Amino acid sequence: MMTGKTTGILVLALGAMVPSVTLAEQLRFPATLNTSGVPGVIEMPSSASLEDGQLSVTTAHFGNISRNTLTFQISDRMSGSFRYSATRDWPNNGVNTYYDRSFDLRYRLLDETNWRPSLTIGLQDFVGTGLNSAEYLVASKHFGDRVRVSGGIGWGRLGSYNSFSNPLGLDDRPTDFEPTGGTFNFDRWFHGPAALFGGVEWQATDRLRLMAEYSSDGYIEEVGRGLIERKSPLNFGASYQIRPSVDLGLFYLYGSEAAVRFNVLLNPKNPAMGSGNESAPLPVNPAARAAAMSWPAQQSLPSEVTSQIVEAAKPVFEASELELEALHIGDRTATVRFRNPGYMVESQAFGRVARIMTHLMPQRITTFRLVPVDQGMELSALEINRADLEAAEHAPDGGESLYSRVNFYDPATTGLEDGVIAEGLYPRLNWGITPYVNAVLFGLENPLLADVGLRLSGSVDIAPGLSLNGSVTQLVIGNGDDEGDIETTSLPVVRTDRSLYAANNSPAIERLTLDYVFRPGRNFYGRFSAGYLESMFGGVSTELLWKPVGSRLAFGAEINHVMKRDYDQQFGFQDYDTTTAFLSGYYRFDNGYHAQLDVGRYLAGDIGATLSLDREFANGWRVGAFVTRTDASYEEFGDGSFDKGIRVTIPLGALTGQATRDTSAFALRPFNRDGGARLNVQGRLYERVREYHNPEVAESWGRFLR
Amino acid sequence: MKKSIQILGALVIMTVGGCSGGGGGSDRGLLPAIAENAGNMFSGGRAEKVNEFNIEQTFGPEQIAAMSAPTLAGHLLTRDVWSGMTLAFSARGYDTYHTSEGIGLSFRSDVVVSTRGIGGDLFASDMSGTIRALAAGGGGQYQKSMRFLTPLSGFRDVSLTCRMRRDNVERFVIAQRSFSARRYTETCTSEGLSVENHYFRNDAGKILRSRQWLGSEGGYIELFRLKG
Repeated sequence: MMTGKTTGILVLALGAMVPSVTLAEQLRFPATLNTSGVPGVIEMPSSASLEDGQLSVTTAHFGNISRNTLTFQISDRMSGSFRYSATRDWPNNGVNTYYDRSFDLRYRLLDETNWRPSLTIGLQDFVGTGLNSAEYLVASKHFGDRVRVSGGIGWGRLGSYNSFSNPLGLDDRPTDFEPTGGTFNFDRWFHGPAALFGGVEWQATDRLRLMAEYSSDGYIEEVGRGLIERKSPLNFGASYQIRPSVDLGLFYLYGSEAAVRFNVLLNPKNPAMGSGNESAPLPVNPAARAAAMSWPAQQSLPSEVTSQIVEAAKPVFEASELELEALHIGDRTATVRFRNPGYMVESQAFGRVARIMTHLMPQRITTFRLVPVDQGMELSALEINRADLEAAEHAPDGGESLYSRVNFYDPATTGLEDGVIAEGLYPRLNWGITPYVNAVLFGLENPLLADVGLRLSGSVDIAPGLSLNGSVTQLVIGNGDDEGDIETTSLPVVRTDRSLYAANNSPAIERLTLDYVFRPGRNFYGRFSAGYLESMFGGVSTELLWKPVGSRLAFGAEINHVMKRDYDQQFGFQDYDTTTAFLSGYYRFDNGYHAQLDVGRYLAGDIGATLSLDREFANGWRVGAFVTRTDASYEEFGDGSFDKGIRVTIPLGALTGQATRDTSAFALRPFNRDGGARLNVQGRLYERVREYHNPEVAESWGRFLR
Repeated sequence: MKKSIQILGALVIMTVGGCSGGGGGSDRGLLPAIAENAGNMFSGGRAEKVNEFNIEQTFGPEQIAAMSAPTLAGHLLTRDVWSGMTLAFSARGYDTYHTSEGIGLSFRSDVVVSTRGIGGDLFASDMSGTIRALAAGGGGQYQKSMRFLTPLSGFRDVSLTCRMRRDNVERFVIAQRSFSARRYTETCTSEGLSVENHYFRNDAGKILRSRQWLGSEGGYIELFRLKG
């Protein structure tokens, strides 16, 4: 039998005999995803990376083992993965299947050159129970435009076959599983015996890739339990690209097991609908042409004339997926307040409003002031010269230079006091019935808990800033109450009893709140909410946000006093009330990275902080992770040790190509417990405000004239 | 009725009813007549493939006469989709045509300078070299630039080096009417890209028929002048 060391040497020697290729050629040889859903060969990792921003979903099955992995290429060099694996016939937590959740991180240390392989360091299952934990260093090199060879050294799982003493001298590695899981296994990283692994991929045709590898995963626990036979360290397989983003792999593992792997790739930077195919905008109407429209001669239009313009303009806005809220026509400047229910990219909404204004305003109006509002709250103001807009419409630079000539500022004083508000906005009832799905994914005992039903939602816009909002749900079918025994700790039960709420088969008041948003001053935004704030808590919530229009930095403060609602989700409360309070800091980095730090007191009375890091793409795709540490001990928290997870937001417009701000969002938490739990109050200010600020608007300015 | 027509229709209503008389200017395209006259015949659209449409025979002079605004028929070759488009707006030397599906194409001297709603839109361009070469009846080498919108609101620029060749006069049929026009062939190259456009220009300098490249996503579009 070939040893790990000799195989690694052989692989590298073979590689040295094949001519090297340029980096450009490598790009034609994208990463294969292994059975763990990370770039690799078959079971082993490689040093290849997905494209920046790419999301992959991989499911792999062999023997009694299933692995489902979501991987996100966080940056050009770094990727992160969340994996949910199930090993059947392995009793755990009262069920006959061991469900395990784990996170991976990989970082490409070195790029490949003509003479050097790329090098990647990886942590597998680095915050889990330790069942699948491994660390590795792996190098990959392309030879010709059809061959990639990878070889590396692994620890933990990847150092469990044909291993040798730790070359770093870190021989002690705990072998027991963490009791609650979820903690950083620092004492395991790169500890214990190590082993070599390697493999080769051959792009046989445009769609077919053949692979062979030498695995250093001994499957010790699984073999010991009789779950898998491991007769050989060699694995063989083929991967077939069904479509450019869909791949199917069939493998023969360890001389005994047949395996199948299926993966789908999504890249928010290259959505299927490209840059979208929303309807064409109105052409810009030249001011000189507006002069021929028989406007009254006087500079100051009577308010009834402005009212006529407002009412006539409303359908124009609606046809452009926008809503006109108010209009003021001054001597030279016209100010328009508008709502944007249609465009995910706010610059596009600004642009459409500007175009409409060229058709509405007389020639003497030389400046448009565009003010987006949310429930009557002004979010920012963009002032644009009419002549600049005309010049930019067909300019070869696509209006890019126009941004340097617009004035973007805080809308605290827009002089709209004597403007005309569109009729029918206040009060106004909006309502709708939609299906809903409440799902808890990847549980310890059940991979999927989901309730499906109907949601009747409605809102009444009472006055600018003031609204009544609510929703009632009716469960139709589901197993959300099938969560098994509730594991309680010394923390108050604030989230772990969600199955008792889910058991309610009667109409449930999901939310019923009176909300008020306001501008307390320049750069400040305020919110006050009272009522049934979410399905499990009711009370009062207030928030203050400081966010200058051009600032990457924002600060917020939030205080809530809430009571636990009855399980029937009617009007009653239980005997638990608490006050939660947070100070929040927000920072927007380049390339769409957002960081948020919330420090304060959580629902169970524990005190700590939540750090969130998200990457948002200019078309609305968003992928992020969050972690919360509080003064609740790991034992008090229970399984998972502390709250953490990943979240993904998908803009539906990027899937359909049409104008819509609708999104689909989900969060994956290994455990949803009482520690580090926050109130799910709707309409927090930062996300509502910052989208109409810089750098978001500046970075998406290309769509202003779309 | 689609969004663009709704918008323009609403503008007409507003102009007439709300703005003290309004209605001035050259508003020949404000209410696209295509919606009533020919829109249904084209049955085009981004999602529909129409196999039976024939630019020579499907309809004839009577339907053309009923059209009240300049109208083009467009055939997006990569998707094999036909659509009618009518002049929605004309100002500052640019003509903007809209289809009933909400797609917009802007022209300068009958050369497409931008698109909206096709996907991978030609966001802006500098086609002055093409326009000059057509006006001069062919000629030497010139440059043109095309800018495309990316999904992340950025731009991708393509710079092309082109030549315009003056070919023979050809006869062709559009909507049961026979025309003769001289074919001009524009060949453009860039790194890894080669494009060939055709323009059929009559003695009056009007382009009656053309095949123009809209970009790697849009591909080629064939355009036939039906009216105007």
